Amino acid sequence: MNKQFLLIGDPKGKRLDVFINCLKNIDIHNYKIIKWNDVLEDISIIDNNLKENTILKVEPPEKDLEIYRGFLKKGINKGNLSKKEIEKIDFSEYPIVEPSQWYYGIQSTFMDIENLLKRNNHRNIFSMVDFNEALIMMDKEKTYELLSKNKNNFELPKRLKKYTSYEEFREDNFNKFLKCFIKLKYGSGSTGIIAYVNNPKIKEEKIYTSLNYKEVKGKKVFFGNYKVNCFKDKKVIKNMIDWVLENGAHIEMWIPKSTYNGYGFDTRAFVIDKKADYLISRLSKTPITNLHLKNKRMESEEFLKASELEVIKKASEGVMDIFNNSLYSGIDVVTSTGFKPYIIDVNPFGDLFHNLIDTKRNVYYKEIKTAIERIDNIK
Amino acid sequence: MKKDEIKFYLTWEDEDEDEITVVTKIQDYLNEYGKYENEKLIIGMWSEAYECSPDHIVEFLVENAEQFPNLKEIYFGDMEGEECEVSWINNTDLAPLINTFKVEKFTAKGGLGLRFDNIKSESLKSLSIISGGTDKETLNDLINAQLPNLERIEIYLGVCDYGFNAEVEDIIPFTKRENFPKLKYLGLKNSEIQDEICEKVFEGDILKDLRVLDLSLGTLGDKGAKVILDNIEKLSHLECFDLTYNYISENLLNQIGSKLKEYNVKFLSSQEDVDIDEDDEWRYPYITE
Repeated sequence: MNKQFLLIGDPKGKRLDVFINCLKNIDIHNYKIIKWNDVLEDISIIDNNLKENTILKVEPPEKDLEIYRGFLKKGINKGNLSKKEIEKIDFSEYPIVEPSQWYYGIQSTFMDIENLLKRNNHRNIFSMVDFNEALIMMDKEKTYELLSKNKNNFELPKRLKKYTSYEEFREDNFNKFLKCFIKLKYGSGSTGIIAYVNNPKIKEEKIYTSLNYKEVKGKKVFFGNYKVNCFKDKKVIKNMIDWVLENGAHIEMWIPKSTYNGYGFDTRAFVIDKKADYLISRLSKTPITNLHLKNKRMESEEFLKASELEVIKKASEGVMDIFNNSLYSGIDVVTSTGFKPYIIDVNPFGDLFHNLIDTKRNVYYKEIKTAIERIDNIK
Repeated sequence: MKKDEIKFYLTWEDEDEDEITVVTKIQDYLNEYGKYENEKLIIGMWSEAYECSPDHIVEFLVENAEQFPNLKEIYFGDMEGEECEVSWINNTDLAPLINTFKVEKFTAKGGLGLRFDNIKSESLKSLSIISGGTDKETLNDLINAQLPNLERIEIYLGVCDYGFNAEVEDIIPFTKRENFPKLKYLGLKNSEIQDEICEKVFEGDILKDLRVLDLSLGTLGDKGAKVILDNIEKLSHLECFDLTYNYISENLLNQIGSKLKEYNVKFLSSQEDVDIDEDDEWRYPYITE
């Protein structure tokens, strides 16, 4: 059966190239690339390329911020920014702008693709991404709610109530020992995550975050950078927390991580076809362990016992039993000081492992193989 | 719990169970094995260490001292920052442990409320205090201590934001041989006034019989480096001079290194973990928060 891989992605990023190299390495040359910009321009470009026996892989936007602009425009009906304002955004400094509107844009686009797939149901098409589930995964609040109803070999950090402003948050918590994560509901990776710490005994309040801001023409512009900073300045803390709360936050308790050689670590588990296939741990002395913040990485098998690996595998597989229609995802698991597994993020596009690029162990090979098996079995 | 288990601490999940404490964990061990026969005992995270004193643990250990017949070493407060930041750990007067148990080595982590009131021990050879800020009272306790056989003292002095409230003059007694007649290892480290401390160490008379001088992990810069270079012959008999984590410029660091090489002194001077501020305005010791 002649199969076609249809890839939607951001040609300025790494992912498409890496995936295509994997295809070529196993002698698959029947693939087609569609740029996100073209999809946002006219969704029918996907329709025109959905042939019989197509395997669809969607990669997230990476480096091209014009794609971000495009999603903001798609989210115009539900968002705050007008078309004119979106056109004016200066993306040269990688600002984080209206994450909710960006998400609505993604939502609208994903639903359009989903409808296209339904219309083309007779053509034997397999999508590696389940768009409905991906949208839940990209919303930390919805993910939490879904997982908390179906706990399955994993724990969840306790959630705090919703706050509308730093003032209200502070009012409730100024006299408590508190360590929590204030997360942008629609952020990805470490974007817009604030680790908040309050100790009334020594009158200490501080935040750790890779978020930063500057004033441009009297307006605060927020952007992410590659370094986790610690801020103790009350004004900065207020501005940062207000911004995350205004843009939709999910707040959960900080789980003290298990440590290795003095480094706290969490683990990204890649689960495909309901099986934990690859585990990599991220070690850090700061509270935010996400990979791209230049922390140490170690393959979990290098330093964890078999029983500990099993705990993480079972927990991440438990999550994917709930996201039953997704072929794969990257699940972030924090193991506590008692080595209980807590799920802190589920990433529908969590399959790019830089250390596996150009190796036979790249999980993309497994994706390709499994997708081919699936399409062969579609009746 | 295994018989050779040496660390007693609460996990994150234990903290939710009111009836589980470090004391109940030690008691469970003693109920199971009768005595604690290991030579080393580590006390880790106790209930709400960021708010609550570990007095009850100290009391329990002292009251049950005969159950620990072989104890030679205690580490009290062994917590990772993930569990409780070093600057948050509420400690207490640990002298009763040193006075009761004939330990040779004692380490305490966490400076809040930490005291060593009236310590007397013939057996103690090594004492380490790991803290983001060591209080003047704690330092005075050590100066007034009766520890005739102490060979190694290591104090993380820390910063004023987290409880260091001494002046450099308060450090001078640690540089006098009469106070520590058998001292071989002097560690006055992790300080925000590391240059001034360095100066006092070279003015004192403690260096002569030391094997190791440890001025690491603090804000030592060129000012201190010049003092070291001016007095470098005073280090010629050392086995090791530890300046790991320092703010000294490359040229001066190399000069110190070359001189020490001539004397065959091991020199530790890595700046790997130093986060040098672009305008060199902020200097932090290695452990503060």
